[in-house]
Amino acid sequence: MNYFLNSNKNKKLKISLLIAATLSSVNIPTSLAETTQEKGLAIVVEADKRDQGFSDSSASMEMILTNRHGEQSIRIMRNKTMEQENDGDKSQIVFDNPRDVKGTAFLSYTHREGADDQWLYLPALKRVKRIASSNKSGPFMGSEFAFEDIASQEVNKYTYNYLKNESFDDREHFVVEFDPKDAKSGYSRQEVFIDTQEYRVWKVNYFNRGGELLKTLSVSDFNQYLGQYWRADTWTMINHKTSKKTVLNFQNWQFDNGFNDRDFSRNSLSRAR
Amino acid sequence: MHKSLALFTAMALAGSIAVGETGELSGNVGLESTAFIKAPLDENQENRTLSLSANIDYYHDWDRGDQRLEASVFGRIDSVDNERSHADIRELYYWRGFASFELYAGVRQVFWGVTESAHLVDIINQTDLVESIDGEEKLGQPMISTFYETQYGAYELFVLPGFRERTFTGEAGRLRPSIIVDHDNAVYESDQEQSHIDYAFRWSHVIDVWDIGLSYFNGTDRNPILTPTANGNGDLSLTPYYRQIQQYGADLQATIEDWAWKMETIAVLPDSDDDYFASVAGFEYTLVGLAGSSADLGLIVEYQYDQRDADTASLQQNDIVIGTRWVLNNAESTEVLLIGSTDLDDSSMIMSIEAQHRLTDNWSVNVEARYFGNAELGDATYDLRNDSYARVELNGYF
Repeated sequence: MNYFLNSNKNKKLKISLLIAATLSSVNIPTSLAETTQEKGLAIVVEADKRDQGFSDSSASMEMILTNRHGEQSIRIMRNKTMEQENDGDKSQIVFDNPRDVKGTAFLSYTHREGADDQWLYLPALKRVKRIASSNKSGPFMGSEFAFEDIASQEVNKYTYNYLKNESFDDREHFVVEFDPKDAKSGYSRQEVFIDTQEYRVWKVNYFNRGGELLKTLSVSDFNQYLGQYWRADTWTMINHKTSKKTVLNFQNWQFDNGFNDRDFSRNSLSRAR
Repeated sequence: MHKSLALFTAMALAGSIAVGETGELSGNVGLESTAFIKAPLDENQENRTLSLSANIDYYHDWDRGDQRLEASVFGRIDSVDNERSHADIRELYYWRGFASFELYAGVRQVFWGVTESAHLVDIINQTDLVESIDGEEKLGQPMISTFYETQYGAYELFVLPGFRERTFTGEAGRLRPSIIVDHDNAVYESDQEQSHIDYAFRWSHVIDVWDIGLSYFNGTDRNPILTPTANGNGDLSLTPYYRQIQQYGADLQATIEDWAWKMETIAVLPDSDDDYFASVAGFEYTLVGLAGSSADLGLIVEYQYDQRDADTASLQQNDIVIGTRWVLNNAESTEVLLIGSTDLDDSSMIMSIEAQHRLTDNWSVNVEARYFGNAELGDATYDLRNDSYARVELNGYF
């Protein structure tokens, strides 16, 4: 497969937060008459465009959950993702730790519009269960990440508003407000900090339905793959209401795995190890 | 130049470890304690039992993940019931993925179905009834099967040589019929008895919010008919009789926002007995973020109908099942499932509670309690009227 040739067929509007970040330093065209909504959308579309065509990726994930007493517990998972030509990504997560959920596997088909399709494989019962994807605001594995924070995100699922530019860590960022269209989202809005050079997401402030700042995500340790795609190794989510923290570390990013639909079928879930 | 070569080699090496050849040994050990509230009906039975079980799993992948050997072995030692002390090869199979289809050969466990309170279409594996009366523990089934997936659904063909007999609680064990099942002298309709080769076919597909399955089975019924038989000494026992049947099954789930609508229906055509059908249908509704917390509350309602008489086979005939599933979504993954079921034709009822909680990364605890109430002579649960119990299981994983 060739990631450099298929950008034409990939006309989808998608950014993947898990994977968000991109490259090539073409500035987005800004006309003088552009509204803040148009500018926000243009920034997100550009970020999405820069991440298109990666075809597939895989990575190991380690989640370190820390409660307010400083006690830690660890989740270890493996993730693989495959781009779809005219739809959202397909992705699968297999759990290795804690040991009682080892072999549990989660399959998700993201759609550009409407509800995603999700299945869970329960190894003790050898059973694949379709699960309601409306549960997007629930915690993922007891962590501070909600399902919707780690799911592949589609451009059409939010409306946007460019707020301002802000500099930190020697980088200039666009600050764009993401307003979820889905009433099932746990958030009223998100403030997303996207750097102006490479369009990578470095920080997200999540506001709850009451409009209060609920969580802050900080993203760091970016590396570039295949000469184009940026992926971050460290994701730190802090819950301001509970003082709990989850650090999500990615390791061993791999591209060009040659995944096909069979690797993301319901049947493949029961084979996932 | 040298640097990129080293990087390339490192990546190639990592790649071969990740996708080429992998394998792992894992498993768990469980210590289970059960207490029965009332005195047993049979003086040979005990009020307290202790039990130790172990599960060892191993898999090995090679050929860039296109071939796998999988093994899963289970064993239990029970302080009271000799029949519950048993071992079984749950899985021991070879899998190969070809370009257009997949092949499995060996012992496997295969689950079909969608509903929570009954598993009607699920027929490939025999029930390991001594493990749990909920029927969800299964024995390994020898098979050769193929899996073929197209854009119009997945097609599976199963050839099943080697019938597995259902396990039954022994004389000293609780949760059994008042008359002991003499499983050593099972009777078969087929002259080939356990050597009869069964086969099955399944088509399944996902269309939008629908998960659909259609299945066909031809062979030895997994559910025996238990017939009272007197031996030479005049002692009465129940003899399992395994019929030859065809079973058509359909399972359907529609997952729409917070609702999962579920249905399973089977039509059973015994070779030399009356045809019958059975069905279970209902929904699970999930209330996400209960009262502003991160907990979810699920409400489960299912109705079970079985055309057969109560005394032949299943515990359910015309029952309504109502349950709640409470998922805390905490770091310890605490879950509580509370289920009550009642027979609409009589007043008998079963209440059960199952809870699980993680203690550490390697230890978890499960609690299970069941109450059998209002059963009168002739009701399916009459023999269990003194067997309400509470059970705690501590599981360690490696």
